[in-house]
Amino acid sequence: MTQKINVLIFENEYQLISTPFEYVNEIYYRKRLNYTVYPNSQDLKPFTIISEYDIVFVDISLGKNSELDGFGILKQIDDLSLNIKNLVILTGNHAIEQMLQERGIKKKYKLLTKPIDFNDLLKVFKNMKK
Amino acid sequence: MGNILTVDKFKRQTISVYFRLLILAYSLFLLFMGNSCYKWFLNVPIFLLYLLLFSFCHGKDKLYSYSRLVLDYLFIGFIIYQYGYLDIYSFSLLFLPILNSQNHSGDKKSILLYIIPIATIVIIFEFRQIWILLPFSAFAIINHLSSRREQNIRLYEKLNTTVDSFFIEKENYKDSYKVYKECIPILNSPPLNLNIKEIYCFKITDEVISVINGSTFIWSFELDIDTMNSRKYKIGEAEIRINILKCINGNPIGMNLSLVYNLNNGNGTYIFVYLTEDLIPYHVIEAIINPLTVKLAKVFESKLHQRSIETQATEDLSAKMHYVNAAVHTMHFIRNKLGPVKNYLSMIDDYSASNPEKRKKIKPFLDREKDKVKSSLDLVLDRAVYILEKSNNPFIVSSLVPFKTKELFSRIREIWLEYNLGDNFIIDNFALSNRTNTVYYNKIGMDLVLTNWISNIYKYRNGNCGIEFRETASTLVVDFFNDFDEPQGDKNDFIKHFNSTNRLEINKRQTHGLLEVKDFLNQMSISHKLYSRENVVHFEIELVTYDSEN
Repeated sequence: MTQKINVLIFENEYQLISTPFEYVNEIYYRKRLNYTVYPNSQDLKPFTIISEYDIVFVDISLGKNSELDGFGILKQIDDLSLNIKNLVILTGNHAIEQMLQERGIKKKYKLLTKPIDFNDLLKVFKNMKK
Repeated sequence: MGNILTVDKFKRQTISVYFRLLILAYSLFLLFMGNSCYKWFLNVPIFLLYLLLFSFCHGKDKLYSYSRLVLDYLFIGFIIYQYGYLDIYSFSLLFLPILNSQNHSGDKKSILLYIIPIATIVIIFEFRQIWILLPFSAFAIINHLSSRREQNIRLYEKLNTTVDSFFIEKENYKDSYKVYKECIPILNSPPLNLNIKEIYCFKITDEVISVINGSTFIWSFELDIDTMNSRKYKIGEAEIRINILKCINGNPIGMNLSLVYNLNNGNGTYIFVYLTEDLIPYHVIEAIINPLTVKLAKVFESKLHQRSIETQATEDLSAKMHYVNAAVHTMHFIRNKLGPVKNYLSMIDDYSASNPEKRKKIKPFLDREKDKVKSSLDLVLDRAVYILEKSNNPFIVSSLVPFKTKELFSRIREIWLEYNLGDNFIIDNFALSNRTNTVYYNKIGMDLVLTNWISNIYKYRNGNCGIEFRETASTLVVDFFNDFDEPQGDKNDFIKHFNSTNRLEINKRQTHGLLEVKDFLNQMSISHKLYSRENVVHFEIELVTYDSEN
């Protein structure tokens, strides 16, 4: 039996980036990718279950209704010393690394630049830690 | 101390020396006229001693000024004693210090000025008649009145200097209310000794009263407009009202004096309210408070004008920011909308490289994505049209307005002098022209061209630089010339690139803002050329002139 891969996505405009995710899931993973999409940080309850997902995608800007933006989520993970197997930052900003440093987030995370090419997304899934 | 007071003090000290020389000369005259009981060998040391002691006391204030007065009278008494008669000549010598009291370099207006000569007459001539007091009393009254007038002038000059010095400091200009903290102590100290607690300033524009500032912060206020409109006393340029301010920050206000000053240009009325515990004498209001009020009103009004210009500039900037923000948002929008295109192309590649079974799975994705790509491209094109629409672009400077050639000349000179490049203007026919010519340009566009070019001259000049203005029958040519601090080859390249019609070629090198200069000049339809002659770079702009009298 093939095991499901649990994917958590923090993204308030998921409909704009859903195609590559659906494509990769259907064409390359035979629908084994189990997506959970939250537009707001507070939708994940309790926050600590974030470490139970195989891979987490965090949009760095998120919407106004979200208690934490992407930086806040990363900071919270850092503050709570949560062990996330795979975390990928979704961003349209190419200078995001400098912004992360400015916000005191020292840990290096993978970046996936929007608009997302399914090839880049596929590489992320292929290279994820088991 | 202000410059006027410093100059005045210097003049008084100079007059003080002349006055002593006059006393010496007049004394010699009396000694020659009368039969001196002393020989010259006694007088010469006394004259020298007088001069020596005067030199010691000269230019010093307080006790020394009184010492000078006593010294003068001792010397005069000695001379009159030798002269031996109380006649018009000796009496005049006794009066010299009183006549000169207007020029006293010290601050004294002492009663000693009158007592010592009376005592001298009584002691030397044993003169006991009361009428001797009359001329001295008359002079004392006249001197007192003129002294008070002079004191007011000096005091106002001090206030004036304080206000000027205050506003000349850049950081004070924005905190103008602090000027009251400088003025109130002067008003409350000798010789005025007023009892002013606070000063507030209001302005009425179009029947709306607004707070300008105050020596304490004003949260709320209550002005009795009815009182304001009924009792009016005019002093100088201002009208006086009593107790029109009823309440400040919810607290009732005691006695207050208001000066209401109407701006001549019809831009409103200033009301200065002085909170005081004692009545302010009329002559103080007239000579001190009124001119101070008018001056402050003018300063505050100029500040309001400046603020209104700044607000206008912010509004202009806001339109530009809006456009830039719209452009940035559009780029985000375009990027997001190009997402499906990027993905679609990748899926097509994937489709091509796949086997038939996989292709079947990919096909529905391609169909769905194709529709998205179509609609995305339509939206991208719509946005691009908006951004490229010239009327939406505040940086487009193609709308032209007429300006007098003199205005253009003044603007060029202003910017040129801002860079401190010297007054090297060659004016050919331009200033001699009797006609009032007009040229057309866009003010912002011309400012950008001038600032850009002149700042480049400032950066790269090598000694010789200037501007030549030439006027023909139908054009005005402004020729900016300068030595160029770069090798000859670079200079030629620079000129070649500027004159090129290929934008990409101009962009290839360090442009020094050339592209913008060319763009703005082209938008304003102003012909221009750049060339080199005898190692000097000339940049000419040629504006068509119109006779504005026609």
